[in-house]
Amino acid sequence: MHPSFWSRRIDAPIFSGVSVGGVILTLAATLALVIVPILVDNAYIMRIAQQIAFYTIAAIGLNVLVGYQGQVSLGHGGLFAVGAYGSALLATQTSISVWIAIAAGAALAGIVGALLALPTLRAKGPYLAMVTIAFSIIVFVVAQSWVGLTRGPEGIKNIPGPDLFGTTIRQLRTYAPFGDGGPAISGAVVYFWIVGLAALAVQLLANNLLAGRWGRTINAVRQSEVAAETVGVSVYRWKVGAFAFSAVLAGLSGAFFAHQDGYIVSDTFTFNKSVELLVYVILGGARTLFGPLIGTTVLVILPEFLKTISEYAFVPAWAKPILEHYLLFYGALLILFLIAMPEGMAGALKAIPGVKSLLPPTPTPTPRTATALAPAELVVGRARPTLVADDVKMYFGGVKAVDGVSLAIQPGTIHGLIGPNGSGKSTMVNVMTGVYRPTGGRVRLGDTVMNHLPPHSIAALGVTRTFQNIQLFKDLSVIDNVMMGYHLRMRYGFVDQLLRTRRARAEETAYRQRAMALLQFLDIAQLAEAEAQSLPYGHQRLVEIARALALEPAVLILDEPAAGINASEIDQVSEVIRRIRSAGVTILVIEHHMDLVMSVSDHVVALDYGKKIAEGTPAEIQANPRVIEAYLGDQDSFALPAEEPDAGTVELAGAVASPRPEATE
Amino acid sequence: MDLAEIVSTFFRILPQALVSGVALGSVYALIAQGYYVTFTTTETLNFAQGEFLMVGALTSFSLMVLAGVPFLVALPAVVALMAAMGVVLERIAIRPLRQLLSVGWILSTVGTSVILRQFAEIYWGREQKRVPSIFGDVPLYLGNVGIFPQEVFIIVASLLTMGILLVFLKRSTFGKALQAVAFNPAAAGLMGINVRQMVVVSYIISSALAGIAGILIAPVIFAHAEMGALLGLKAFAAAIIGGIENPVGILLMGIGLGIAEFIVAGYNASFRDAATFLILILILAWRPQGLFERVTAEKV
Repeated sequence: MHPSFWSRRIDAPIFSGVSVGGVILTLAATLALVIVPILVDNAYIMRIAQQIAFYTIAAIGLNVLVGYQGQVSLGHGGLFAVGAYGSALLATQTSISVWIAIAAGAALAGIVGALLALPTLRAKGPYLAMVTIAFSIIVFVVAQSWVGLTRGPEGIKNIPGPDLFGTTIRQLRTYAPFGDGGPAISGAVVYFWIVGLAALAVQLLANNLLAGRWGRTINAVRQSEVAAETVGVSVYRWKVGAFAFSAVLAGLSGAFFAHQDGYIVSDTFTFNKSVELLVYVILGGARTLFGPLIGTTVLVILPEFLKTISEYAFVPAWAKPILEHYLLFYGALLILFLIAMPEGMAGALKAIPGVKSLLPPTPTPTPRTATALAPAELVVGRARPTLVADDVKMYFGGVKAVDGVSLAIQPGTIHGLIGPNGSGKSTMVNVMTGVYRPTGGRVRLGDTVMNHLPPHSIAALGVTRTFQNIQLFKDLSVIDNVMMGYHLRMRYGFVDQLLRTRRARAEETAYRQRAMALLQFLDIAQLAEAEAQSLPYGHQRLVEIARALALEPAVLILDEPAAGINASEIDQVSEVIRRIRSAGVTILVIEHHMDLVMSVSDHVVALDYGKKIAEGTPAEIQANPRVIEAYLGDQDSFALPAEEPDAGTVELAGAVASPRPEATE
Repeated sequence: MDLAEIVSTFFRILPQALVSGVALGSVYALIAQGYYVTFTTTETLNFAQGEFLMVGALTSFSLMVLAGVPFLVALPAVVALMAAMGVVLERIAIRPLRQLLSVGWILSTVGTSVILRQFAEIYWGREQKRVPSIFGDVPLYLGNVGIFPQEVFIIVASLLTMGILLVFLKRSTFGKALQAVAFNPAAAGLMGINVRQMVVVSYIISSALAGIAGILIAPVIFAHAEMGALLGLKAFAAAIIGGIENPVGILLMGIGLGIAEFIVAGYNASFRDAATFLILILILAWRPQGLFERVTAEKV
């Protein structure tokens, strides 16, 4: 087949921009799901196929969380149980339709997941993992002990199947959906159709989500929470959202499990269920679209395969109990894959030549060229209030990192903030952008007080920043980093993304074009498709600036834009700063590098030991004796450089006033 | 239950809960010191710590009950086995995976816990094993509060072990080297400390503590494949609440948790475990860094 035909895009109302190949593959998968079971029609095989289908649903959800969003959950077995019990109890205790019971089970799991996530997502890494383990165990204990509700180990029996063809579907019954003369189809096949098509739908919708704004945002949050905040992403809300989304899918999966055999017992929902779901994802390939499907398929079949082997005569007696403990293999495979093949089976498949071209192409390709934004287009229709710090204090325990500093950054000017290491510059930036909450004083933009606002709200008001130690979304392409800058401007919502409506695609395309124009403005359009972390330091700085400019900020704060880059790159950066100023953006530059600050600034403030020691034009500052003393020290107290040898400049004095840095990564 | 009844029940169960809680809680503390030792040096810890304990307990069963080995021989044998397991764990499940997804080591140690539970089921079977206490099983009574001699031994031995550990960590050159690695691995390396070796040693210590905890607690609760998961998890709860880098906080919270658990059990035995974890979730919601940990600002 001609590749251009295969990847030609169709402007459909939903799944907009899908390729011809994507449509063909989807139709083929749907047909196979419907027809193959009729041909096979074996109750044992159909049961396994059903399991693959509904566990894939849970695994897709868990992959969103573990792979894309980067949180470990060992509690999804618990959410699976919530879905199963929720749906089973509704179907047995009330007279509502089983379809509604299933949906309600999924929704209940989503609510429980959100309730679990709300208080605990502020914890990270091992803490979060342990809390989710604890959740799994609580659910198991409740299922086991609250016999009045769950019937405990005895189990809930006679859970009805969903209705189809005007009758209730049961595994072992046969149906004649096309009338009495038509073919007889077993309940196992019909139930597989239900769960198989549900899994297919979930896969397609999840692919849409992950390819759009939603996927980009959770990827960004994984890679740098603090940077995501400065482009206006409420990290906490997004993490809770991702957790709730994956919880809904775990619950849906559990509900389908409950209606499979019409019988559930508490023993099914041990902590091991959570581990199994995680193993499906890791072995299949975390952070790949089809990894969960592949992993689940292989790992649901594996225990059956081991069981079959153990029945052969050549297997020695001592090996039989080992083969029956399939979790032993899960555990061993998990460690093996983590070490040897962290991209999982999907990653390995992708490495096979030709496979990649089968994958759906991105619906909104990056434009090849763009005309650079004119300076006048850089920031459109944003009010330009003065950014003011009134007597700001920031204490860490007894250390007064910033002690009563006042600044007023006039609109349309470049304001320099200098000072030796430890003078409180970076702390000042962190206070003004909401990373730290000041101990005293006020930060305001015009008349809006920003003291208690989180960074993402400050970003929404139009104040954003770059970072001294560059905080890019490393795995994302340059243009996707810039696209994150448009986060607050994009209007298409969750449903648009899920279905990938025309509106979603149109908006994505428009912003991609604009991102390209912005990159062109900074002369780095040729890097658009490069992975951000692959770039040299100087280019990374420019990408960070581009991302910040995408917010069309009222005030742009550049935290040591020249740190760690070489002389020619410094010239490039100062040229860029002037170019941005010519567009009318207010800029605050924090810098050690005197040449840079003095050449671009209209107004300079010098800090030392957390206090403002001088303020004025660059010429005044350069002549100010207190500034000279702060930088060179007086003859009696000549000190050696104190910290941060990576800053690329030589510091001559300075107390260390920053909080204890994070341990080395 | 009305309020008066709740209060009177509380005072009725308190004395026994205090005694039994301190014994169980000191085991939690002992396990949790293992988390402390590896977390300070490597910012990783062993999610299979409870399963290490379980293997230790079941090995003590094999040695003492099946092979008739005396306690004083079984103890060092179990500790040696644990140390070896600690080395292997560090080499396979921790060292290659510290960077991956930033959570690779969590998944691999969880994988290890699954493997050990399955292995124990295959090798020792599913049934619970009774390991007799060397001090017999006639309880001592103080009024109507009973305590087993083994429980007294648990308290004494755990506190002694923790005391030795802390003195070792604070006073010996070796302990100081471990602390140096914890504070700044790069600088410690430049000072000639073998950082890698220190990491291995911290895993040896951590695993040995799990083994000691296992051999101590086996006579009080039956030894079986599933015994470790909850113990390891509750010890972790103690470590989180007490502050994972604060050994004294860990000790206090371990004991506190043990007592709280017996009080809850006095009201409703089946919600004993769930209550512990509910407390954990609530405390983390309130103070994500734990009760005694200082909140440090993230430097950007």
